[in-house]
Amino acid sequence: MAGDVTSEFQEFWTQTAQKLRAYMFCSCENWADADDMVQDCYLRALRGWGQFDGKASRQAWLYGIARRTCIDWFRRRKRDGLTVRIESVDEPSQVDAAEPAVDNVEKVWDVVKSLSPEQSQVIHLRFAAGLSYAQIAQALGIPVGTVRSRLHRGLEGIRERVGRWENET
Amino acid sequence: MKRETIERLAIDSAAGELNEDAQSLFIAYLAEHAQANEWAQSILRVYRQTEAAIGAKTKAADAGSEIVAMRIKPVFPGRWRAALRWAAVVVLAALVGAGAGRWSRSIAIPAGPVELATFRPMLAASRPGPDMANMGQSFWHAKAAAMFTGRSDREHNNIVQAHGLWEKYKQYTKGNHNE
Repeated sequence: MAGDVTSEFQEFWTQTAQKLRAYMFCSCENWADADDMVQDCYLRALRGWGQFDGKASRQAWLYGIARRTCIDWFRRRKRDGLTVRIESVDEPSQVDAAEPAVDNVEKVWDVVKSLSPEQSQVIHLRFAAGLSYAQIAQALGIPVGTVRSRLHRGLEGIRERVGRWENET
Repeated sequence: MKRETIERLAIDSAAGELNEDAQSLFIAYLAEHAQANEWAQSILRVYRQTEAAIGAKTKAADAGSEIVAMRIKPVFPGRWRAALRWAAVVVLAALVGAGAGRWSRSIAIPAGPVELATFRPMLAASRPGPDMANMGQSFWHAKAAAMFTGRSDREHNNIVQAHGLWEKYKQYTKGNHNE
């Protein structure tokens, strides 16, 4: 029984770790902190493994835990008086020639950060974690319609601010 | 259709959230309506830009999966670690306190003086004390003599000293007298 849970959890981890790590990085912008949060999140998931009711998908359930882990992490940081936003200096992303220009990547990234937390959360869950609308709705505990409108408003905001920046430059 | 509806449908289409029928209908609609197609392309461009930007920034997540795997191990969360540290300090303090208490009890002088005060006269009466003159004036002799007579060390030392002086005085006066 214990062996089953271990192998099941191991498989689940293999399927989800990379995306979860990317999502956590979107929240804290630091790989070391992202790894700590991923570890904390999987520990919580392992503790609650047997309590999963099956109403949502396992992935949505994991991102629900990830969201709470992020909230706790930010609270702890605030309580300890540490800076929340830390510029990533380790593991810089390697951008290929085919990908958008670095300036554009940084601009879009900054604009996503400047959106409301609700909108940026949906955008991160969609683009970093690759969740479907239904999974995002389950993870955040909101209706699918709200996910759809937050994503749309978020993209609208990005278009507006990036467009303004492109006009200026 | 309104611009907002077109844009929402375009996003849903890019996200793969439209079923096959809805997808083909939407594509057909855009083919017939240039303005709607323009609106859709506008938001789709932002969609792809955002997708690419987040993908580029989080690309290193793939390389770090090994590190994550190694780091997954059961550890106590921070607050429990702090609580355990405090508990260890309290237990250590309790052990040190208990040890000190036991040690001080083992070397404490028993409530003997009352017993000694009642029994010593009897001992002194039944057993005659040693010859004071031969006791000398050493510390342990005075102590032993005091124990047998039921007097305190200092009291007895004074007696011994006084006795010695008296003897010396008598010898001195005797010598003077002889002269």
